[in-house]
Amino acid sequence: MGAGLAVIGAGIGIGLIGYGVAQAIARQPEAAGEIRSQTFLLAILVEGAAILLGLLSLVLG
Amino acid sequence: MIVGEKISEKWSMDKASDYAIDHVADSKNNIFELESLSNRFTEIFGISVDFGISKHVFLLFFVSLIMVSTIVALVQSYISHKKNIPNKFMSMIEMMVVYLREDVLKNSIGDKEHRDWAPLIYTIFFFVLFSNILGLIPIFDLSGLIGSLGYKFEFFEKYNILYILSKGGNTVTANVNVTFALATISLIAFIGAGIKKYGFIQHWKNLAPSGLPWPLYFVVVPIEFMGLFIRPLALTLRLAGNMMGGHIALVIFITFIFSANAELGAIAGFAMAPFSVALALGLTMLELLVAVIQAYVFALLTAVFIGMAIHVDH
Repeated sequence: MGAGLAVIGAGIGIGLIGYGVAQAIARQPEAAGEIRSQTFLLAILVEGAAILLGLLSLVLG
Repeated sequence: MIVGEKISEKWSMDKASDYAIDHVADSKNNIFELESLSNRFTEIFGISVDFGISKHVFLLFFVSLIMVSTIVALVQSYISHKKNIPNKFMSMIEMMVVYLREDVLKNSIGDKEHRDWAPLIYTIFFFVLFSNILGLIPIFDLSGLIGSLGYKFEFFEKYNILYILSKGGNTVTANVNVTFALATISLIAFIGAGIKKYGFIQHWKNLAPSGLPWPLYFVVVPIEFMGLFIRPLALTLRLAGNMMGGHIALVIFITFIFSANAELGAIAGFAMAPFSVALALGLTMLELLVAVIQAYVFALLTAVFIGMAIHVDH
């Protein structure tokens, strides 16, 4: 249950990042490299929170 | 239930989780003691300290040995004959190094300072990469596989190291203690980076931006201070959680076969096997990707935090 909720949250977060990145690259294809490395950082942060919650649900459940 | 023991008739769904946890957990005893005692502690000044060489500690040494010998041998042989074209492995390593330098080090730490911190970032990257990938090679699972088919190897039980190693291929980075040690190194690095640039007192002053109205400092300073220690904690849990989760999922997919076999009969077990193996194969491919990405992420975040300590004003 907790893991499912964590996955929902992370899914929405990473989905929004992907949406933003796709739009940004479509508007400015020449800046794709910089945008991609920024994306990595943001996706990592979102995923970090999700993993933390997933581990908590694994340990407590 | 231990990986490598004969799978008995009493297999049930409940055992699957024990099996999975045992696959990722460290061994309790010292692997160099032939009788399996749970004796890893040594008395020093009346305090018992854990100096035992458990499975993960052994694999840690193993990974370090492989990493150092591979990288040093390749790079030395490349440097000593400068006219040679780099061979396959050398060009692979060169590609990673150049990518890390251009994309991570120069972007996050800065053009001037990145050479000071490059050795640390490269060491972290290659150590995590090697231990992640070595954990995916199921070489130590071989006797476990044979054991589960019903054969017992007396040879393995006589030599305890091999027996314990045979209980499961292991990722050292799935152990929280290992990743916590790595994260502590990067914590020291990004405090040290700030102190090196600004001096001891100015570095701690840099934690909070200057020019705020004074009551805000009571809020900002504790938050920034907590953030300082949450960063390595997040690094720890991210790497360990990713590795542990992947391996648990792999074992669970494989145990579907035995669960189907025990609950629904032998035909169901046989019918389940192709699906299980296909899922596990796909997940292994995903884990290969995750192994590289997590190594990159650990190096990237360390570099970003060092960069944040160095470039305060933006």
